[in-house]
Amino acid sequence: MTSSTRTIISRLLPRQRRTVRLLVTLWFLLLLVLGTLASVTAHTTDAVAPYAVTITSTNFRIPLVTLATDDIRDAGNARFSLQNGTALWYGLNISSTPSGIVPTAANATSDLVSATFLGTTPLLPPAQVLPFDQWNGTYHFETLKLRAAFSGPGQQMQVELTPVEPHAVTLDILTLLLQLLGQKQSNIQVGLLETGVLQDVFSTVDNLKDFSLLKQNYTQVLTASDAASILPHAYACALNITSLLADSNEQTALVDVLWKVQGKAIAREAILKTLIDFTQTQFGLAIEGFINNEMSTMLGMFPMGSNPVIVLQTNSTTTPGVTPSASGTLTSTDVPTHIPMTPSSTIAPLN
Amino acid sequence: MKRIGLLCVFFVCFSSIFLLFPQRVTAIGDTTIIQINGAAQTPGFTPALLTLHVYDTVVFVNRATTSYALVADDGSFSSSIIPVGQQWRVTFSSTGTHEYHTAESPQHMVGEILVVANTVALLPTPVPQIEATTIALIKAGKHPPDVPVLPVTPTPTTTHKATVQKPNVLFSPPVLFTGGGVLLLLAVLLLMISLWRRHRKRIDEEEEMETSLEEMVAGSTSQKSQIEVPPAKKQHPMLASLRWRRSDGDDDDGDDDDE
Repeated sequence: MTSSTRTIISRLLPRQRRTVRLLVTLWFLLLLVLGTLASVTAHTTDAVAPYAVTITSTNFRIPLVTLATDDIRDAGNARFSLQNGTALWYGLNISSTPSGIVPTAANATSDLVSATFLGTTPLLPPAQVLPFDQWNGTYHFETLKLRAAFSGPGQQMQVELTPVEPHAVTLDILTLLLQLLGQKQSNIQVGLLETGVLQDVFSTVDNLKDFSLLKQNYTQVLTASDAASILPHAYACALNITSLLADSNEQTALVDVLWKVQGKAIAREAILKTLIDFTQTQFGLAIEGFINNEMSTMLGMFPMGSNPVIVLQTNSTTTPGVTPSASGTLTSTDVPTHIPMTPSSTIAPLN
Repeated sequence: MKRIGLLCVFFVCFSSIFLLFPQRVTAIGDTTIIQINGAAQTPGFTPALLTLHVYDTVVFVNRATTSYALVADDGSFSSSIIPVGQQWRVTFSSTGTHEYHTAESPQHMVGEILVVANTVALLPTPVPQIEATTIALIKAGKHPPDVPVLPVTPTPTTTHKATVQKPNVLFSPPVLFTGGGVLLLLAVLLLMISLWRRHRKRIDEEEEMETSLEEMVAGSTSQKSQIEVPPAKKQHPMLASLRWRRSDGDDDDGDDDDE
C-alpha cells in the first residue's frame, strides 16, 4: 500500500475505513474466483481430442539413462526425450500397435543428432563421443529429442533400450579402438553425423572377419551374468583385436572406417601408421584387463535382461461418468526418472 | 671500442632470433587429462582407457562430488586424496600397463593406462581449426573434404602435440625465453661497462692533463720568463682551453708567454 493510499484511508472515518477494506477483500476474492474459472475453462478447451497419451517407463534404474516427457498433450505430436550419460551406445528396439508408429526427431532441421540416430538404425549415443553433448554439472549426457504421432485411441508404441544391439556394439568397439590407438580427444566421432557415413561404417565392418568375431565376443561380455564369465570373453576380444590390426586387408578397411568416424579430420596415412605400429606393440594384456574391469563394474548397474523400456499409448477419454482429460500422464515402475510436468489436477484416463 | 659495440649488436640479434620464433618449438611430452566422474558414472573415469607415450603426464581432475584417492593395482603410483575440483598428476617413465582404481569405490571406479614406447605412433589429435570446419560442414549437411585443408588465417596453438616427435628439452619455450632474456641482459651489461670504461678513461685523461698543467703553471710563476712553454703543448686545444680557464685574468701574462 502506497503512502498516498494510506493518507487517504487515514483521513476516512472508521466506518468508511471498514467499508473500503471490505470492498478490497471482495475485489481480491473476485479475482481469485475468476482466475480459477479461467484456468479450468482453458483445460476444458484443450480437450479437443477424445483420447490422450500416457507414457510409462520401466527399468530406468540409474540416473545416467533418463526419460523426460516434453509435451504429450497433443497425441498427434507427443514429444519426449532420452538422455544417456553412460559410456555405452544403446540400440532402440521399436515395436508398435498398429505397426508403423515410429519415433522421429522432434526438430529434424535443427537437431542433427536426433535426426541422424532416429533414421534407419535407431540408436541412443553415449556421452562424450559426439561434439554436441551437454554437461549438466555432474556428468555429460547425450540427448535424443523424439516425437511420436498417434492417430486414434488404443494405439501403442514401445521403445526398448538395449546395449547389446549389434550396431550399438559396433560403435562401442570403434570407441574402444580409438582409445586404444591413443586418441586422447573425446567428442571426436563427428563423422557419424555425416550423411550416409553411419550405414557405410556398418556395411564395411560387417565384411571384416575379425571384427565380426570381436563383435560376438564383446556381446558375450556385455551379456555376462557374473564377473567370472567376463574374463574368457575379454581375453577373446583381445585376441580378436590383435588379429584385426595385424591383417593387412582388414587394416585398410579399418583405417577407412576410423578416418570417416573422425570426420576425415585426421590424415588416413597417420591412422595407418598407428595401426602398423600397434602390430609391434604389446597391448593384449591392457585391453583384456580394461574390458574385464570395465564390464565388471557395469555388471551391477546394467543387469542384463532388464533393459529400460518406454511405452506410449493412447487411451480414450470419453468414458461415461468421468470428466474428460486431455493431458498425458507418465507412470513408472522401478525408479522413477521423471516427474510429469502436466497439471496435477487432471484425472488419469481409465484403461 | 668498435669491437665491443659489434659484440653487443651480435648478442642482441642472436637473442632476438629466439624471441621472435617461439612458435617453432613444442612442449616436452604430452599432458592428458583424465576426468574423475565419480562412482555414479561408472567406470568413473573419462577416458577410462588411455594410451600414451613414455614421459607423458596424466592429470587427474576431480569433477565428482566427493574426494577420491587413486591407487595403481601394480603399486606404480598412488595419489593423496584429491578434493573436489582439485587435480593430481603423474608421469610415466617406462612402458607398461597400469590398472588403477579409487580407494573409496574400487568396485565401481576403474581405469587403465597403457604406456607405449615413443617410437609407436599414436592417433593424432585433429588441428582445432580443421575440426571446427569439419563440424560446421557436417552440421550444414555437407561433406568434409577428403584431404583437410587449413585456412589461410593463422592457427591457434594446440593443447596436444600435432606430431609424435619428441622435442629436445633445450628448445622448450621456457628455456628459450630465459636464455634469450639472459643474453639480452648480458648485452646491455656489456654495453654499459664499455661506456663506463670510456667515460672513466676520459676523466682520467682530463685529470692527468690538469695536473700537468698545474705543475707547469706553478713552475712558470716561480721562474717567470726563464722557462718557456714548448710549442707542442701550446698547440693542444684542450690544454689551451684549460690554460685559458686557469689563468682567468692573467691574459696579459699568457699573451706575454705566447709572445
